[in-house]
Amino acid sequence: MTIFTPVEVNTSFSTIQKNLQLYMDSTSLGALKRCPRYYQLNIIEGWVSRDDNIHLVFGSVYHKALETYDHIRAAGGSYDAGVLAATRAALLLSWDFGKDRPLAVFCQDSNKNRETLIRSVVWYLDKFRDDALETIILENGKPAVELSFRYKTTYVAPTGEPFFLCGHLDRLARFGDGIWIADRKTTKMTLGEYYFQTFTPDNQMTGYALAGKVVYNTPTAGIIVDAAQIAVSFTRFQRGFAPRTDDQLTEWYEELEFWLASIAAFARTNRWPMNDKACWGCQYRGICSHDPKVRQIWLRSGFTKRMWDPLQIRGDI
Amino acid sequence: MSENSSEVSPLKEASPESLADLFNKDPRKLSDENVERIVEYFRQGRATWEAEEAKPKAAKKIAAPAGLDLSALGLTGPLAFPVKK
Repeated sequence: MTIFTPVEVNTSFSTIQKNLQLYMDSTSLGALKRCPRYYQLNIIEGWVSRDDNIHLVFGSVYHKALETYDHIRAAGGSYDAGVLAATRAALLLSWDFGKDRPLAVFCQDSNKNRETLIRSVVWYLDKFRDDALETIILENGKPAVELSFRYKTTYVAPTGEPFFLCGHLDRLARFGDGIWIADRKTTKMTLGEYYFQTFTPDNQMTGYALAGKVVYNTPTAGIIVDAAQIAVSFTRFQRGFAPRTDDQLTEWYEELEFWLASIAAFARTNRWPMNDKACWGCQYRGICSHDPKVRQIWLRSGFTKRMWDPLQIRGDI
Repeated sequence: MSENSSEVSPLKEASPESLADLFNKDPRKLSDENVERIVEYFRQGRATWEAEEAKPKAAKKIAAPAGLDLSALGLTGPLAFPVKK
């Protein structure tokens, strides 16, 4: 199989054992749980398809625009001022100033493009104009939106370095009597019970619920997912709940130890075994279907490289 | 001033930019009014879509595929092969 060749210095990896990731976000951990080979190709080597890129960029800009709105509102700004600022943010973030045109990535997909992005931002804000969710204000007076977290686990790698969990929470909000982590999702999938079932159990959502308790010392009840179905001619929204009990969080954290032990073992041998029962819908299925000797050639011809460093960028959008 | 009516007068009010123009313009050059026009455009789109969504959906009629002659299959009128009693 391929030899580990880092694209640049990835700060989330060990400086002692170069292929061992110490700072784990939900994207990295989710990739590992799905298939070690998938993790190797996607996270360590950074091979991504073009389709992957539009989903990441679209989601990032959508989040940033709505976060702009959250900040304006939390600072006492009017609804209209918030909508204006969010729309302007989406327009700016989707523009290629070097080429004086929309970013190329926003011109490739009929569902996820610049027009559907701006539409989704405006429609979301109008849909949830009188929202029952109330953003928590932190002790420093700032709204609890776009919160980056990073905390040391009790687990230590064979190199002696501790493992960390890291990521980004969209928002902490009060809903009814509880405090919830609010997360926004964009998808092409039809929204409904089936879609929301995918969040329980779910690596990302449980990890977020745990982070809310550990980092912000807040008794979070779970996750509220505001999902946006991005279609060609409309954006449909639906809100779903993914509650988590303390025992569920404990179970997830205890089982994390086994996953971290396995990643250390894979890294030590630099062998990332294929989970060939997880190939359905996998972007690397075509690659893994080829003889090992020619996989690098196929990767180079059909994929591009990006570095996945959760300490620099946000994932699982 | 020229008598040629096709010549554009420099005093003529500039025509408002189309939405497509605004969308394809460097967003740093957009005024608040420009952005508000974009917001309003999408709001109108949402109102239209919601009105369509609110309409009761008509039941789909199952029609014979175009070009299919049912009589040729003996499926209309008296049975081509009457069931013997």
